[in-house]
Amino acid sequence: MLGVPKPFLAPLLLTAGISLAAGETGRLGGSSETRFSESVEGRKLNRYFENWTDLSYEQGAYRLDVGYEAHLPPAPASRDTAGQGIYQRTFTFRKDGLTFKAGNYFSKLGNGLTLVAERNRDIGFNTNLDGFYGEYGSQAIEIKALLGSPRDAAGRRYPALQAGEFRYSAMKGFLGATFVTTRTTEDDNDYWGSAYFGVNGEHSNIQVEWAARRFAENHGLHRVAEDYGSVFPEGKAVYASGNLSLGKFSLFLEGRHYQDFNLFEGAIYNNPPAGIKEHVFSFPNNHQLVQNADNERGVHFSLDFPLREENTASFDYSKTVSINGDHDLYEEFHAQIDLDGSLPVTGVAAIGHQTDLESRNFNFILHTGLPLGERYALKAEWQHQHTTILLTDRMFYGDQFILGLERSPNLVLCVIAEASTDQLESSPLAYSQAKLWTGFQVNWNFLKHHHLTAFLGTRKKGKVCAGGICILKPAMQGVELALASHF
Amino acid sequence: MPHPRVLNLSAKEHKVNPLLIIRGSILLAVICMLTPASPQAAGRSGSEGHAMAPDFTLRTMHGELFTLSQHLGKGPIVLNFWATWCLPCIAEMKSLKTIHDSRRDMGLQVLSLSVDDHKTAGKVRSHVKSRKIPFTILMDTQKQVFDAYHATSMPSLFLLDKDGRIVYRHMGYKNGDEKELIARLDALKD
Repeated sequence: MLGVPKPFLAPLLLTAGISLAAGETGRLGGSSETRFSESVEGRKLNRYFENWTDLSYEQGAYRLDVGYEAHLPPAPASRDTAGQGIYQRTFTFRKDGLTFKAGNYFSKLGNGLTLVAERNRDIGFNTNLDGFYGEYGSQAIEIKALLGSPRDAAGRRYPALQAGEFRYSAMKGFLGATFVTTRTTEDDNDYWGSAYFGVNGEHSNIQVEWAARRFAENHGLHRVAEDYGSVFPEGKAVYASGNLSLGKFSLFLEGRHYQDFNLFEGAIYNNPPAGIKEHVFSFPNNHQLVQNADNERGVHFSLDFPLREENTASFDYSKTVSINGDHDLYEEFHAQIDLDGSLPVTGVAAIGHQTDLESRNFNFILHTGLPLGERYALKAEWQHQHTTILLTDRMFYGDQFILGLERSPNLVLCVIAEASTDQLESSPLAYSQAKLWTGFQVNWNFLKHHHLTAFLGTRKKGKVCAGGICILKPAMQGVELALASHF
Repeated sequence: MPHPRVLNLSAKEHKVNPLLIIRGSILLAVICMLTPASPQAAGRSGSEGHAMAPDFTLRTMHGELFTLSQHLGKGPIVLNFWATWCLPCIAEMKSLKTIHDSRRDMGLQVLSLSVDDHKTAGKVRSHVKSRKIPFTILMDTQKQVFDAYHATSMPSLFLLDKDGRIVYRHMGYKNGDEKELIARLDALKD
């Protein structure tokens, strides 16, 4: 199959007909997000305008979702996923554990090793499927079946995937399997799937998933696998994670082994766990290299424990190496204290060290909040990062300062300043004069249904990462507005 | 160059199709006809003019199924959407613990929906345990419920009355935001 039909008017008319016949009325809801920016880059004026409007109509067991987007022109982050017009139309029926969807939908099978269809507007990522989806769920059994065309970064559709998942739960354990296939040529398919099991105890839990892929006979990677004489000539992946409570200590551990399992045929089909810490602050979150992780293995270890009163300490370590173990890809140490106790000042203090293929980074973070009366609070944040480029031994540092005043429940005013020697030439051991970017930001909730974020000033270029996927945002000098509304 | 297996839809997808606009207008017109102007005639929307919260079924942090509609009628419900990587969410959780402790007699239930995706969902359990969060933790790893409620930022909080009507919603968290929630809860008590 090279495509699936696009039901739209039929479920709409069906919903309308049922509603009118039943004499009942439903519920209309929606949200809208608008982003606008105008900035200067040298003599060039950059401007973008984006809008996403999502409407939903719910009537009993039926729901209709319609999403509209406009990129006039698209933001740098959206450039590769820009579409115009109705980007989502979904009819959903949900009753007594049964769910049926027709149209665009998002889905995940297992732990994301075999199939993930998801979206993130901040990094311009939308891999929704277009087709049909069915699910039956009870406490003991969960069954999913889907037929859908995946979408690549440019919004183009690919031949439909046929996929399914079965999960059986009993007592404290569960086991299941996933299966995905898609046609690659006129007479052959790619197949991949996984099996998993897990146990959820009171003080601990564990889950393990094995996945394997079979390439079509004329697939280039099939010939490569044969040449290397792999035991599993096709791709394979293993992911495991678990939690353990030891008194006051809470331990989290995850490990992964991904080999030739990057499921990508123009469209990205999967997004397995990256096995590294997702940081709260921007500086340490700036060096995630993992994008649809493949041909690597690694571990991530995290230990949380309460300190006096409401304070919590945590320690994270992760290491990722190439699949053959011949070189390190990423290593991180991170320690953090969350101060939420009876002290008048709350906040976070963190220190960390990261090493990847291109650089070594040391991070220090201090975030504090001081309540001023019942409705006001003063916030201050300092992030520091010292970087050494491994190839050239060039060193530079960056600092970001944020000073904010909050007034509950409507208003936040912030001054943001960032200094860095990143863009200046310097000798290996000398610190050049830092360049400074400054800005002013307002966050304002108004008229109950609207939230406005306005930024005026300059901002340094840098990476923005989410879930292991990173995009590069250019420097800006101008104004940015974002308005989110709901009803 | 497009991949040879790409379906030939790109030309249509990137242009505004007038027919789509017409269809969209018909859609909106039908929806407006079906949606009453007066909340009192809304039936399912509730006599106080508050909309019913969308029902959902999710798994808890421990793997059990949880359906919202099966827990109505006992008292007000606070739904808060959060994630382990969201700093204001952690601050809001602390204020909710205080409110939860002081209003147990109301039958208040706090349902914390984690929108950590599959990449960070494994960390939720140790995060909850170390911070002694006592609420029911539901895993919304695909943000299906987050989208169904049209939440737009993190954290997001919804207050439901015992019948499941949304009586209050709030986006974000700042010191003092809990006062409005407390006032709304006290109004429900009265």
